[in-house]
Amino acid sequence: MSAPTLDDQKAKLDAYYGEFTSDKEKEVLQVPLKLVGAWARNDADGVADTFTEDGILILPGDVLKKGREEVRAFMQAAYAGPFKGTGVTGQPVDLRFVTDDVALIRTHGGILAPGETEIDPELAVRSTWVCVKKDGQWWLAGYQNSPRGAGATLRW
Amino acid sequence: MTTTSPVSEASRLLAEKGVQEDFGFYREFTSEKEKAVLTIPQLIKEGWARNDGDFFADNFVENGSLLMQDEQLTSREQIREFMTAGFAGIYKGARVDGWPLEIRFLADDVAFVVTQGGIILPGETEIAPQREIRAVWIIVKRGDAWKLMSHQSSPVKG
Repeated sequence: MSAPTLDDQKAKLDAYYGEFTSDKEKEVLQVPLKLVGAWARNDADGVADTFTEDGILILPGDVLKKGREEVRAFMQAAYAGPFKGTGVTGQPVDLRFVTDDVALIRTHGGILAPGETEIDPELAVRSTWVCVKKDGQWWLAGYQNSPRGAGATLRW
Repeated sequence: MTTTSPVSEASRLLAEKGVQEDFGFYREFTSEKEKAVLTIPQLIKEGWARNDGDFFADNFVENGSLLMQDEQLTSREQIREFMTAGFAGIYKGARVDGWPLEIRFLADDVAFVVTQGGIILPGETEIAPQREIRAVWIIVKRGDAWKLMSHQSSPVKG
C-alpha cells in the first residue's frame, strides 16, 4: 500500500467536514479531529490537552471527570487497560455557534476495537462537544456521550 | 428597574410561570446569576410534573436540541410534539428528579450546567438505578429570561 498523498488526506478531511464547510466551522472541528488523532496514538496527554483547564468529561459507566488532570489520569488508566489499542471515530451531524466563542458540535461515532475500522453497534454513541475559543484556539469545555441505537434505554 | 429589588431574578422568573421556588434546589450554586440559570431545570422538572408538553417545550430556544433515548430533536416545535405525545403515552404519569453538580459560565449569557437525576415512573418513589443519568445543559440568556439550547443525558450505569 502506498502512503496517502496530500490529495487523499484533503479528500478524507472534506468528507469529514461534510456540510460544515465554512472556515469558522472547520476551525471548531479541529477539536474533535485533535481528540481522534490523540486517541489513535492512545495518547492520554493529547486527549487531556484538548480540554480546557477545567473541562468536563462525562461517559456512561459512572465517569465524571472534572478538569484536565482528572481526564489525563482517566485516559492513562484506560489506555493501559480497557481502551488499549482502540481507536475512536465520529462524524459531525450538527454544529451551532452559541456565540462567536462558544460552539456545540454533535457527532455520531464510537470506539473502534483494536484493528477494526467499523464501529460495533453496541459501541455506537451520540456525542455532544461543548467548545470554547480562548486565546485564539478552540478547546473542549465539555464532552459527553451516550448510547446510540438499541443501547439507548429509557431516560431523558 | 428599581435599584432595591427585594425579589431575586430567579424568584421572579419562577413566579412568572406560576412555579413554587425550590430553595433547596440550588445547593452550593447560590449566586443570583446561578440561581437564575437554575430556573430552567426547575421549570423543566415542573413540565414533567404537570406532564405538559407546552410548558416543557417553552423553556427551549427556537432551535433547541434535546436527545430523548435514541430520538434527536432539533427544534422547539419538534420537542413540543414529541413530549406532548410522550406525556399522553410512554411518559404518562412519569416525573423527574435532578440536582445540579456543576455550573460554568462560558460567556456572560451562556451557562454550561451538569446535573444528575433521572425519570421516576408512576408507582416508583425514587430514580431506578438503570434510569440514573448525568445531563449536560447549555442554557442561554434571551432577553429577560434564560432558555435551554441543548440537553443530552448519559446513563450513569452501563
